[in-house]
Amino acid sequence: MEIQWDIKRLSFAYKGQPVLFDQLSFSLEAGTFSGVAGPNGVGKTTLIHLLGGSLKPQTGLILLEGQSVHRMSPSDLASRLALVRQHVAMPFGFTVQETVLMARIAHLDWRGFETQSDRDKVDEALCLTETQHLAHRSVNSLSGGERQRVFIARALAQDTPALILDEPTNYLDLKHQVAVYDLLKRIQIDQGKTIVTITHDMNMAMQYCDQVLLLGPGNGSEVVMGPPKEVLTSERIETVFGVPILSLTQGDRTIVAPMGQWHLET
Amino acid sequence: MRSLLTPARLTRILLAGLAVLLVTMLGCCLIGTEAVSLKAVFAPQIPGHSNPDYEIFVRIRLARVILAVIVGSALACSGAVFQGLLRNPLADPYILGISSGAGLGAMIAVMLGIQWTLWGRSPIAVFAFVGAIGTVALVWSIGRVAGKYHVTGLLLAGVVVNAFFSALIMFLTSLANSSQIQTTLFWLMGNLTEETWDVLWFSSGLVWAGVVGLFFLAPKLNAICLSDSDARSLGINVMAMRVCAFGIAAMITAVAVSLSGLIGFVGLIIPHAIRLIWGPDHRLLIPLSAITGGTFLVLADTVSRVLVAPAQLPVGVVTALVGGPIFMGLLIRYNSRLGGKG
Amino acid sequence: MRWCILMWLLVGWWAVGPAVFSQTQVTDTVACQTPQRIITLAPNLTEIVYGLGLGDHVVAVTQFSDFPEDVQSKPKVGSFWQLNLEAIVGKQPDLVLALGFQQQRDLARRLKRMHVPVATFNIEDFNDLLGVITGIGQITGQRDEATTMVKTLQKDLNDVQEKVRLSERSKVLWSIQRDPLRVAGRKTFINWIIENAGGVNAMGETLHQYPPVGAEQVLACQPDVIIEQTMAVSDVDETLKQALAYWQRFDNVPAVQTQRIVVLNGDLVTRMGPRIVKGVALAAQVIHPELFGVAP
Repeated sequence: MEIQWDIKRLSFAYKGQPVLFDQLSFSLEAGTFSGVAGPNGVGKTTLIHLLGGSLKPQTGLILLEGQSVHRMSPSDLASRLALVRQHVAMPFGFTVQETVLMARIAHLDWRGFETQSDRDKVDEALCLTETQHLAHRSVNSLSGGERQRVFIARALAQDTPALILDEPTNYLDLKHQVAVYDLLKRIQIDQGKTIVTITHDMNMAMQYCDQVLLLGPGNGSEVVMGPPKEVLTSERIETVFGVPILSLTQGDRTIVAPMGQWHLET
Repeated sequence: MRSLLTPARLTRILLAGLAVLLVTMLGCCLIGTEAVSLKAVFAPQIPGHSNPDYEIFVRIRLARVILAVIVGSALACSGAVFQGLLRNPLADPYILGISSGAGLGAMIAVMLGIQWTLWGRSPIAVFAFVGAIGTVALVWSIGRVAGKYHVTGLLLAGVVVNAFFSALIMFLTSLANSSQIQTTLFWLMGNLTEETWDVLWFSSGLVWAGVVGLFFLAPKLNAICLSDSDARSLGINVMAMRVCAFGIAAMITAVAVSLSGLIGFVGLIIPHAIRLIWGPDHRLLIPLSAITGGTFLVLADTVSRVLVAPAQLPVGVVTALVGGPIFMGLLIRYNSRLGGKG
Repeated sequence: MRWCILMWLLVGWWAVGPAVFSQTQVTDTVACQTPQRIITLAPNLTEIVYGLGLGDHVVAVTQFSDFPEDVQSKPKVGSFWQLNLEAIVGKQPDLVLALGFQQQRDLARRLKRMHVPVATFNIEDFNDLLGVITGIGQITGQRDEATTMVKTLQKDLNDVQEKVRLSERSKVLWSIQRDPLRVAGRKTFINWIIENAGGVNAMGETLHQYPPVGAEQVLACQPDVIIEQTMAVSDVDETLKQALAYWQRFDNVPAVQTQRIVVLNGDLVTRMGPRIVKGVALAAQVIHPELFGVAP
């Protein structure tokens, strides 16, 4: 299996703040679905940004397909990696179709217009995320969840071997949460894409991820990486998140649920 | 409900716009304080006698109309680009201090009483141009935040420089004698006068090249609508694109300002009006803003010429008085299109 | 790639331009026989032209030309600051007279491009005025009339100067604006009027030509006479009422204590034209009423 991401001795801290990562090394194989989990503030989004080349580490190398992400030109990087972030409202009212089309910017002809194959990719992406019926609506008029799916569609239209997502299911209802994870898993299996996503949902992580990176507790601690069953044990989750965990196993599947104060009292 | 822009649709809309522009230009050449007959204009020239109809129609009105097209298209187009670059619908071409920089340059030229001309260009125009470009460079260098260019930093730098230069202008105004004040005020309020053909040719070349260049950047301007890092993840070299777009937009604004003084409203409102009707895609917005801006300014200038004849209103006053209600009408009509946008 | 093509297209555009359009010929003034169709672009120039006896040859003037009476019926081509180029060209003048400040200088240039004969004159002070009268006389073929006019003006001025020569110089504060208060400084031609009328400017040397001043400076300069001016003769009474009300607050200066606050007809004292000497005489009457047998 070829290596998609190779992180060597990564060290990073924001200016004037405590160290987040210290000599961290790991690698992610191509075509795998990885989840990044941990408490707030531990550095999940930072790690995502480091992997995506938006932040520069103080020391260490971040290699994507063997090349340093910071040495690549933006267009080069964009052909290998697509990002789905948390999005705020746009100042101008682009439609869903126009927004998703922006992913094809590297493929436009000399007049600045897209070809039929670009439009096909856009349609395909809209289909996969079940947003075709929104194609001509302004993005700003959509609900949070619909907007989330539009930006996932845009990342898909970018047609890259790797995909990084920052809490993609934040605003989504149950049906669409499952739909997004199903979609990501499907494109991982069908198209062999490498997926890295930040997740707050331990159960989803256990169902879908090939491996989980668990960060914390606290900054600069060891990153635990491995298959979800091994990493997401109740003891470890309790230690990292500082919350009592109730764990239920049914055959092959394990469900974990946090237990709050009221739960304990009854 | 808007479908994607296609080259065919773009061409259709632009050709229609150009047709409207040409008709407007011709029509406005026929309007003025003196009655002019087209037949007399094209009558054969008698050497030694000037043909007043020809002089008025061609050298005064036509030249002025062409200038209005050049200035209007430059301002509207650069307004659209600044709004996109700064992600701020309230931006106009003067937001980064160009207005006060040009005004200061003009004021200095007037105060020094310079009489020489540079290639036939009046000293005020030259100083205004230098002032405009210099101020953009100044704002650009101040607007760095932690070594990177940040939109907020640029906006703040522009506000500060504008305030400082405006104060300087006011100080100089207090020192000036009445004719100097009048000259500067006039210039600040914006006015269009006829220019020589070589000046028109030269500046029209710059402006149309600028508009075409900005059209090349249009898809990238679309893509930076969310954030710089977002655009970068789509594969755009944001820094290079910013420098290019700013440079071209600032250049055509400086040309417009040096030719006509400060004409406001055009750069702010025209792009908005186009967005309301045709959407924010810059591939259409940029050329159509240019054409519409030119048409609008020709009309505004004609009104300013004839409304209180024989005196003239400053063009900037007309653009605001005329543009305001039209824009409000557009807003009301197309309110549904705005959706949840702020 | 597209950018290269664009650059080359632009360069090509610029290269073609000068080849297509040759520089327009600029016509310089002017013949010496009497012009038949004169347009004057300033009230003082109008008065000079009328004074030389060419009133009938004037076909258009600017808005505030109001002297002599005759002028008010002539067509107007805009105001002093804002001139209607079309109207000027449409009248087919064979001589246009303009002043030398920036806007009119620009206009002169534009008119010359359209083969309209233009003569520009700078009138900053009295000597300029005399020179300009002579100059206009030359280009309109009215040399003798010009010489006469100049001699008359010089004599009239000398008369006034003689009258006030021996009397004590009163301190004069000449206010051109009340809110905020601005006065005429030493570098203005109002100062020249004051000096020729037997006064001295109560203000000392200032950086500004028309310095804005505060109450302190007014108190410090202790003027004997305060003069204001109006735009039109009809406003004199009204302005006087307002002026008296305004200046009462400075009751510790001699001018207010003796109620020597005067409003003059602006036309005579702000227009550097043939009637300026009358303006000086008027100012002298006001500053030294005792010399003219007029009640203070």
